[in-house]
Amino acid sequence: MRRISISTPKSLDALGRVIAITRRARVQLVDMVVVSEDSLYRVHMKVEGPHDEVQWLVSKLDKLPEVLRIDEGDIDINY
Amino acid sequence: MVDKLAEVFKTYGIKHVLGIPGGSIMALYDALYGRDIDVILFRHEQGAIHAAEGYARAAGRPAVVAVTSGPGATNIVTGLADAYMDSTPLVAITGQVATSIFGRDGFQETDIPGVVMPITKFVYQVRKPAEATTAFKVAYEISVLGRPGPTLIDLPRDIQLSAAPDYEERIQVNREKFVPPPPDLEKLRMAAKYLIEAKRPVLLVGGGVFWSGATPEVLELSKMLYAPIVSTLPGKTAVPHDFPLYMGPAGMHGRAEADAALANADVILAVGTRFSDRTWGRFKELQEAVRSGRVKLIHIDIDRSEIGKNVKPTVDIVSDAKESLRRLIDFVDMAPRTNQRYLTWLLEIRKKYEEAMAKIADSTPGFHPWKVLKVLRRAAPRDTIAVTGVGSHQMWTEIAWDVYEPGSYITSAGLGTMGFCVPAALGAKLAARNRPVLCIDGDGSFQMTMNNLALVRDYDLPIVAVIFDNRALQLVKQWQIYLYQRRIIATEFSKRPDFLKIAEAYDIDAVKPETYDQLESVAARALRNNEPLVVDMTIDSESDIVLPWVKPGDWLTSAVLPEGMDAKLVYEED
Repeated sequence: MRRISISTPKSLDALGRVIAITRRARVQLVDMVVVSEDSLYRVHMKVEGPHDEVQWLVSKLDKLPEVLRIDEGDIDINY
Repeated sequence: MVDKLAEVFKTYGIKHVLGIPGGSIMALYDALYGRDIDVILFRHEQGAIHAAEGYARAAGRPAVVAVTSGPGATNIVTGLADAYMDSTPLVAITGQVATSIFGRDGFQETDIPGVVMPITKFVYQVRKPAEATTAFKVAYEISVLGRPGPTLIDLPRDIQLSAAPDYEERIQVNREKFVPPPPDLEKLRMAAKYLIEAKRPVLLVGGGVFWSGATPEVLELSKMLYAPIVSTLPGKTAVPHDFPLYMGPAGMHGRAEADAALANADVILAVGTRFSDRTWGRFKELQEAVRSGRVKLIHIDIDRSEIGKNVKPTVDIVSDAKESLRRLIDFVDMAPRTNQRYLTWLLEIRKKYEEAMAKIADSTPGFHPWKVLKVLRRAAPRDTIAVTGVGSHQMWTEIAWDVYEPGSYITSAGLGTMGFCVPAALGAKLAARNRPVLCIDGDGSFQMTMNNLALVRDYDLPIVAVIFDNRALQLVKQWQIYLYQRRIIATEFSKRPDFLKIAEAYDIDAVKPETYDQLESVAARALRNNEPLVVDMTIDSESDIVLPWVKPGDWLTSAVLPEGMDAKLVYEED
């Protein structure tokens, strides 16, 4: 299982775009939390699936101009 | 606010706005009244958006499309998806109902940002007047930064009518991610080493080569390495076809020598391509060959997400194509092997195909599409921009239409949108009035957007439209014949409409040639004299089978070849 953390502007449209990409990924979205912070949404996902498919998702999400920042890493992190 | 937006258009060099007005976009249209920006009124919004695609590909810069809310907006959805698939920059502006009635199912209210989220590079619904000009600037800039693509801003009616604030609100986006990084030099050195050592190298050129302007580098590298060039369908426009080492496009209806070059290569340099199933048929053979090390795959792309999407390369380079190839050329500092026997083999396949097709065409009653294209190519000046619809005629152009100048072949490749030709040709003509524009269409594709022919006279856009008229959805019918045991259903049209009368209704001359000579003569005259013309070419549906054909899910060497062509696409070493 991998963790994907994203920062977007505080806009449901930006979140919608993130979800539109994620729903096409060949991974299982185990968990998703959206935290509102000042002018940003911080989206934390736990995804399960083959490494290449997780990378597909990360790289497609990173194509969105609304994704201001994206990190991917091990799951053992508190959020 | 709309006046300020119109001023911003000018600063971005916008000369045309394409579309159809309606209640929710009237204010923006009104702001264009009396300005030095031409409004181009289409007959259907789909026409406007495809025209914007043709415009962008001919001009190399985005066009602006403005349509109303609801049906106006949803009518451009297909074109947005088409532009997204083929990496075409454009900016769409949709009107929207007033913010006070958002979500109340107001007249012509549609959540267009929600609809186009997955098929646009950037979409933004303006909620405050101070965001409007910023949103346009961001949309325009993002459409061209890095890998191009369509963008959309949704502009509610009350925002358009509001006073322009004297400040611009910032819109948070990460633009920097679209600026291509410099190429990794170590990886380029490795790529050069593989290419120098290759026995059968091939350069696979995608549409990204065109957008990057990397044609000179591709040709130089090909000459240095003595390596054949193969293209994808979008990449066809990037390579002059009279370059002796160009084999043509590979894939489902690619050229046999191109399929052979790609399938038998030991080193593949793929540039600006997304590894479409339409180019490769299937990936299993390539994946296994790369994994085992039998084939070295070097993939250069500006879009990181394309690397390894379908095939994991041996060397991956995320960067601009032109810059990468320029540096790569510097690293090819040793004489590579030359494999004359291999090239001779590929060129022999080409010769066999041309000979087989010439025989088939000569024995076909009436016109054969392959020969029609040869005749049209002779008739058309070298700088002619050829635009296609989607269907069997398009596949014939993939095989048999020769491109001489980069950027002069415009087609709907990724989405395969029927109806693309007429409006995209109008857009190309709008962008390049001094060049001949030839729309090569099928009767099915033509009928989807022929209403836009009205613009030929309205705006003096003299395109020549040649209809491959087989009274069928021919490519689907071909599949029904070969894959569905000839169970022909819903692919054959009646004799209606009469295309000559359609042309007459739009005040355009039309002709139904009876000989190839007559075709050549009328097409040459219209193209050289910049006169509009509709040419109705009667094609026998039963004879119109596009070959070669790599059936869906097959590997490239399994291509079905035309009758009388005795060739194997698997290379045998000495």
